[in-house]
Amino acid sequence: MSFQKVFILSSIALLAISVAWVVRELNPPWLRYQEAYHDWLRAAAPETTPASLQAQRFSGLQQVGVQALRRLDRCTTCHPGVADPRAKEAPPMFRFRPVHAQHPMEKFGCTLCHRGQGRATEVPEAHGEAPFWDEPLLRGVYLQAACGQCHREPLPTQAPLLEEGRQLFEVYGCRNCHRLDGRGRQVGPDLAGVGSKAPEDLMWGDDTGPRTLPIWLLRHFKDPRTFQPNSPMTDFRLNDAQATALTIYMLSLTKLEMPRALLPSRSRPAPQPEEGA
Amino acid sequence: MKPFLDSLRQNRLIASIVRHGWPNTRLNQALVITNNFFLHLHPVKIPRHALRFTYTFGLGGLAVLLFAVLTITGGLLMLYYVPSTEVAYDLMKDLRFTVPYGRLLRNLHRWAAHGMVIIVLLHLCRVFYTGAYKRPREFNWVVGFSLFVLTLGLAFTGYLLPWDQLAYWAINVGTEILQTAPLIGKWGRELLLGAEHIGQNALLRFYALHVFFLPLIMGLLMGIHVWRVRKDGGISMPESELTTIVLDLDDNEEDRPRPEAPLKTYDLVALPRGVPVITEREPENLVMTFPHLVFKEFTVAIAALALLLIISFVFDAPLEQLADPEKTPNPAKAPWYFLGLQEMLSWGPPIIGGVIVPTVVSLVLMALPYFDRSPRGVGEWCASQRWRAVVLFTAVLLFFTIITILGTLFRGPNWRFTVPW
Repeated sequence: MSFQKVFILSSIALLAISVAWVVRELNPPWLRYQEAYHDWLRAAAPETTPASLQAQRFSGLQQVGVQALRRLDRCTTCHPGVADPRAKEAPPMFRFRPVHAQHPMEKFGCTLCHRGQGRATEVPEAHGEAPFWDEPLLRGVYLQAACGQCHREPLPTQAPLLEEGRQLFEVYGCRNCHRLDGRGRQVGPDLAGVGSKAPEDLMWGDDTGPRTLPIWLLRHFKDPRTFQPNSPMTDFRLNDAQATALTIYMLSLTKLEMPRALLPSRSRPAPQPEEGA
Repeated sequence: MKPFLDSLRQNRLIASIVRHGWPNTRLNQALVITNNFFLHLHPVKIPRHALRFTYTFGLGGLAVLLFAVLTITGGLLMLYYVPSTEVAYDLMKDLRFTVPYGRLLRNLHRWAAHGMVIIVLLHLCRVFYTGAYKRPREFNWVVGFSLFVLTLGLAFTGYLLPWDQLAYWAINVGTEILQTAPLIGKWGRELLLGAEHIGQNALLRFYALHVFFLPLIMGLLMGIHVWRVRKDGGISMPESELTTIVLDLDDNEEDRPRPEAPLKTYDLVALPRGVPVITEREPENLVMTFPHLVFKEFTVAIAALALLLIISFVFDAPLEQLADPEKTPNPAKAPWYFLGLQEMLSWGPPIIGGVIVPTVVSLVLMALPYFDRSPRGVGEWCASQRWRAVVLFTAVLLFFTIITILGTLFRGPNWRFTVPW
């Protein structure tokens, strides 16, 4: 191929790829979610939509910084409305959740409870479901684990499965082998911070399936020898619901050091017993 | 078009910047080269031989281009980056997700850096295989080899800056290789890290080296390297193509035979103080640098830039989890260009793989022009008179390539042999 041809082709390629970069930068994936939300807002609640918002299709990149937690969450970029009472009837991904009224976003952010990657603005990275992020989104019933990070008091209505998991833990005598909050024997691993474990911290054996902490816990509870054939752990023959409940409880036992100001007044932790007490 | 261009030419502002006419005459084509800061590195005319793309593959020029890309993207990245273990990783995420064109900057910088290591190495191989390091270019080979080492240094210091697991452990392994050097190893590692372990001090030192000290030395050596290429008569070429210009500056040397006066003078040549310019051969095989060489260089640069932008579009620069000194990945690997050394380290006593082999190979390579002093076989690829040197060099090159690939792709947990598929 002559240099003239290379010159023409490369020039076209350079122009094309430059345009592609500009197009990509000008069209971040979150734009279409904001567009959808604004369309819904205009259609569903025109009287509450301020005039300034009437013509607006986008509100731009949104972020909530929580200094005390050193977190920056951009989730509301794609999920506007989740803390906006006008969006009670919005499609699920934009819908207002009453629990957010008691947990103002400016104070708690999003990822403290939901996990995922707050700084990311694209799926699957933002959901923490891409490689190299150890905190995938707590989906469905697993979100109940988030409540247990701060709320030590019983939550039978708000987080029934978490509550069931806590009870199962005591009923089955897990502390006969596992230590938690300084109580219990140390035959098996200490469970402090078990909810913050990364997939690499777990024994997966020869298993080649997807590797996340909830998957490991669930399968481990249903059959302790599924990953480690010679695990000394007792098989309690748990059904799916019980295994899920225990998994949720385990997921609530995170390493997070919660600032006191964020803790609910009723369950600020009592002074911890001394080691070995 | 023509009247428009002519009116442009007559514009006093433009005429004050571009001080030559439209390059359709030889005079103006010469002025394009001599009156342009960037192009004046070139001579006005070059031997036709130097135009052959398959002689150089434009590798030296590509290295300069990549250095320019890295300097520009690096400078822009400095507007966002803070060398702090607290925030560096978060800033990588911001570059990826929220900084306008941050993803482009980081991807370009990353891939251009890897590309530069490869291109500089290929350039080194090209110079070897064409015997271009021989007299009078011996010292420029030494400068060039130093530039290769500096390229590795820049790549290595940049590797730590994202402060993720990949960065942390690669630098950990890399500096442990350094530590195997006797006497100065431990001291050298501590000097580099500013502490016994990689932490805030190490990040700051790597940053300072990466954005200031190493680029400064690199820029200086690059200037010397290119300047010497010019002083040594342009790129190397076979003796049969040589148009030697002998400048006899020493008037007192009576017994030296005076070459005959030229039959023909150049179109444009500056004569230093009336000393005769003597050519052994008529310069018929010279061509104008503009447009012939400049066009080819421009084409290669455009093609390389397009390719770099495409690669950056398709592949994101890697970023793993936040650096965690408590969590050693298995296996922990050095940056790929040091995986040959890590592979050798796994074979036996670290003194051999970590110290003796790399030191001996580097020193021998660096001093190569002073061992291999035969002037024959310059200017063609793998000249048959040089078969011994070619075979030896190829063997060493193959050895390092194979162990680097082995260490990069075929080593799994506990450095056991694995297959990448």
